Amino acid sequence: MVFLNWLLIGGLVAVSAPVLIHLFQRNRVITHEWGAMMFLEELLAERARQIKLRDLLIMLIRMGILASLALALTRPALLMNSGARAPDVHTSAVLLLDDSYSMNAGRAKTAWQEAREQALRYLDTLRKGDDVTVMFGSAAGKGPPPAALFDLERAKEIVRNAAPRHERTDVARALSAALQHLETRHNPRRELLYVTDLQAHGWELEDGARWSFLAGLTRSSRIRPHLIVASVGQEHPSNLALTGLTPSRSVVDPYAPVTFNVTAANGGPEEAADVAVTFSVNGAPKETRTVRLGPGATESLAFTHKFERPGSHLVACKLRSADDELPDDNELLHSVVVIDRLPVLLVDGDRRTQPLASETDFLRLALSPKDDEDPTWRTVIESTVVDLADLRYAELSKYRVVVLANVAALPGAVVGELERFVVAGGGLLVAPGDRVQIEAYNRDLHRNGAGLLPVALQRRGEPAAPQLVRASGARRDFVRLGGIVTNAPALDLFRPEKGQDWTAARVFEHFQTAAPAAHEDIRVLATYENGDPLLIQKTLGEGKVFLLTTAVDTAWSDLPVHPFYVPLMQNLVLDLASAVIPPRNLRVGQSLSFVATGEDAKAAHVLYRPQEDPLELPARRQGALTVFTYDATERPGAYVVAPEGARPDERIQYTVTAERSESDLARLAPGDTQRLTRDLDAHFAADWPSLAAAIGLDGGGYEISTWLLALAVGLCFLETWLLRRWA
Amino acid sequence: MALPPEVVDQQALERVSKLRLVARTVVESFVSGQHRSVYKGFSVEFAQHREYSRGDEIRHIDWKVFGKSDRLFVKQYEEETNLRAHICLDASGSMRYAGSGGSKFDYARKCAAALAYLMIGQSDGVGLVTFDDRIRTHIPARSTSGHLNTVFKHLADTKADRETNLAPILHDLAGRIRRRGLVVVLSDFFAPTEDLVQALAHLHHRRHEAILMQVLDPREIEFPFDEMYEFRCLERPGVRLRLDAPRVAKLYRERFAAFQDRLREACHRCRFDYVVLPTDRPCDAALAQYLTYRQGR
Repeated sequence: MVFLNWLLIGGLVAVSAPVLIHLFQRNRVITHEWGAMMFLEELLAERARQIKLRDLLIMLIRMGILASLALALTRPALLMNSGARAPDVHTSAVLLLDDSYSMNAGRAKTAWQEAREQALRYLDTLRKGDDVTVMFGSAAGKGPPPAALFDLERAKEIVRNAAPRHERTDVARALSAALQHLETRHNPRRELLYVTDLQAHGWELEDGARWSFLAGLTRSSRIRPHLIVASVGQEHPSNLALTGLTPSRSVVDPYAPVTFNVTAANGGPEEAADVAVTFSVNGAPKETRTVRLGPGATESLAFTHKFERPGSHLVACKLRSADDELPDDNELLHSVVVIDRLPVLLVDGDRRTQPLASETDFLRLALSPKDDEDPTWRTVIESTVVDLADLRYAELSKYRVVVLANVAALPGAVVGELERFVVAGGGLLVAPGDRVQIEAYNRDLHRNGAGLLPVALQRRGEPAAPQLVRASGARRDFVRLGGIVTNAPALDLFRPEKGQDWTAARVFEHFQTAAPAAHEDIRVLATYENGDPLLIQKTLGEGKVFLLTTAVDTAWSDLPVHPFYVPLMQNLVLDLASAVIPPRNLRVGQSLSFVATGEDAKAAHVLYRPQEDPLELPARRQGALTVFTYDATERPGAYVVAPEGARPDERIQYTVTAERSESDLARLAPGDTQRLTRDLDAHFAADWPSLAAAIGLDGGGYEISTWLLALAVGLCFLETWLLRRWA
Repeated sequence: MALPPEVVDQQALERVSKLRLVARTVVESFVSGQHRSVYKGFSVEFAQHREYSRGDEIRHIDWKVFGKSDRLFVKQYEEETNLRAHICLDASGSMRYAGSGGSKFDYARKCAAALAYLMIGQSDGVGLVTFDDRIRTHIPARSTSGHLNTVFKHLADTKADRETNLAPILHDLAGRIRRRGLVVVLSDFFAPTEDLVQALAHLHHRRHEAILMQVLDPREIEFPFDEMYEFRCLERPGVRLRLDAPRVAKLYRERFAAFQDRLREACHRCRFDYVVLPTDRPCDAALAQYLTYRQGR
């Protein structure tokens, strides 16, 4: 027995009403002095027991009436056979459709077309009085569930008009949302039909905790739902895909070529020969290569290109193959911002007049080497050196990166400015030295983890002095640079396979730091050979901060005399300046924003969308900025924002990319389905006959609300009859 | 004669006095001299001789007969008598019941006063008996006008209280009243009918004529209560019954009617009059109707 409206079970309290009325009436008696007592005494002597019995019976009947009505409102149902439908039991169903873009796979008929047919046939099995909620895997669990429909034709219309989205499906989340929604429905039988291509990736079966939760959800349901998984699509689909397109440099300039690493993958069971990969820039094909991809193999391709002019560029890679069931994932786009200058502010805390004696002398040379004869030394980095006193007058918004080199301490106002600068997307490199006041740094810049510094600087030994670490206590003793702990663009050049060796450098002194907090925004990128952190990164807002625990001049190390010093420092600065705000390479569903200032903000901005008409973007003021936003980036492809009347080279390129994990069309293994059958009591149906069998057409249970209402009416008649008979 | 207003409804008395209470019996009558008494007493007209028996007064010995027959005879005279009535007023607690207007006791007291006034006005002797569980007052029957004051005074002083024990009272009265006469009982007769029937038979056996005037409040007849009531006994303090009145009304009315039927049947067997006097009816009208009926028989 289950109660479909169990929230109304409290209505049973009404059963006590006759008793309460009786007790209340007992206290509301009228006192009357009476002479003819002998007759009443005779009556009571003979009838007292009878009257009491009758009163009790009437009270019980009235309580029965109220109990029947209250129970009828809770809609109790007797479930005879939980595995099948019964002709007189209504069903609350959730039709969950996998609308991830892998459902577009298929040759003669896509998985989505098969799923739609199954769904429509399933809807045909529902009857008047049943309700169905049509949910889609990409949206399930992200917001409130759609309304349940009693109009089955409307449900069919929704299914007919639906199409796969360019998103992935988190199966556990979608099933969880569907089950929770089903729990709120009211019919005594509950069905959840999930129509999917069984793509293994979305199920994430390795995450046992989530599936334990789901199993608990089904077990704790008031009415255990019938979970049926209808699989559609090919058992072993073939698919070729481009799964990655990344530039070798985070900041691209017109002076040096940039390499784009492209990854092609064959997810199918057969080898694919003559797979052509074409590399294009701004729509113009630059290079095509042909590769052979074995079953399950991936191939990395590198395309190098040097951009001639600064501005926004679109890089595209396209794969062509005769044998591919899912063509949607054969193209990858990347928006590249080419810059012609990168202003960097170097704050020198130990500025001197002698050559190479100031703290930033080596750094400035490394960032902006001057050799007009050799164009390979050209760089976009433009360094400006100021001392601490001038820092407060500097306009930080003009710079992309700020470097604090052996700055003793910062005034509070400057700290605030720097925080705003980083949060807005700027980069900050902190390279301390012997002048650093540890207490001031920890108080103003670390602020117990809330400030700019990723970790607190530690002191050891004398509390008033910076801790100078020496390997064995001797002045010339040193420690060498160690390994890269976390991959980062800034250190990409120093990965072992790149051949750059930095272990020859010696560091005589460095700061020890507190252990980094376990937070995803703070990462140790590299260490010394003794394990102490060398470079620590903190992400703050849209920007980031690097803490180099040694000085950037020769006072504490011999880093500046090594060849890697120049690329190391340049890469650190370029990495700090890599944030493109707002981002231009987006995922499906991510908002597209363009910020304009000055005269540009007054012009209308048009958005060119893939396979859709151009759209004038609405403008929104945010202080001195004008922001143009577009949220409906549901279709992957190239988007272009152009001020009205702009030249082609003034257009801003955006890309929207679908989730590439959907390209792996491998299905759940038989063992996985067996496990799900066991844990979730799910029925897997590969075709319509097995799906119809899983639904079942006989057995079931009975809702007894009608019987209870009939009982209440019957008791009313009985009460009336008894009262008239006994009156 | 001035009557205490709390006892006598003057208007009623005046209206009642125009009527004549005509005794049904052959030996007594309302009007002085209208009927010959069957009682042989000691009045002026000789009736017969009776052999002397011990205790007879010597002055009544007929010495002439003694001289002729040498036997002692006393002379008996035919007596001219008026009605000797005893009005028995129930002063038990149940008579205090006052449903909608005055109490039954007040109503009965007014009726008793009216009857006494009427009968003394026609030179009939009137006695008064008040009782509850025993006889509280017994004023022998007399017909003097001064006696009426005594009756009224006792009526005014009597208060209704205690339990009813009617049957033993009637048995007692049947023994006490030696001369045949009229016994008017004003009561609600709330007592076991079996005992009452016996007591009435006793009165009849002693050749008394009785008029049973049952004074009732209309509520006692109709039982019109429609809610939950706690009935508190007027005769036995502390006795109370809590019940849903509508549920027992019908049974009560049946019981009450049966009780009245048994009482009426007992009176019929003894050839007594049984009169129901509802308190919502003016007592003069009720008495007038009854006396008119009686006069017409």
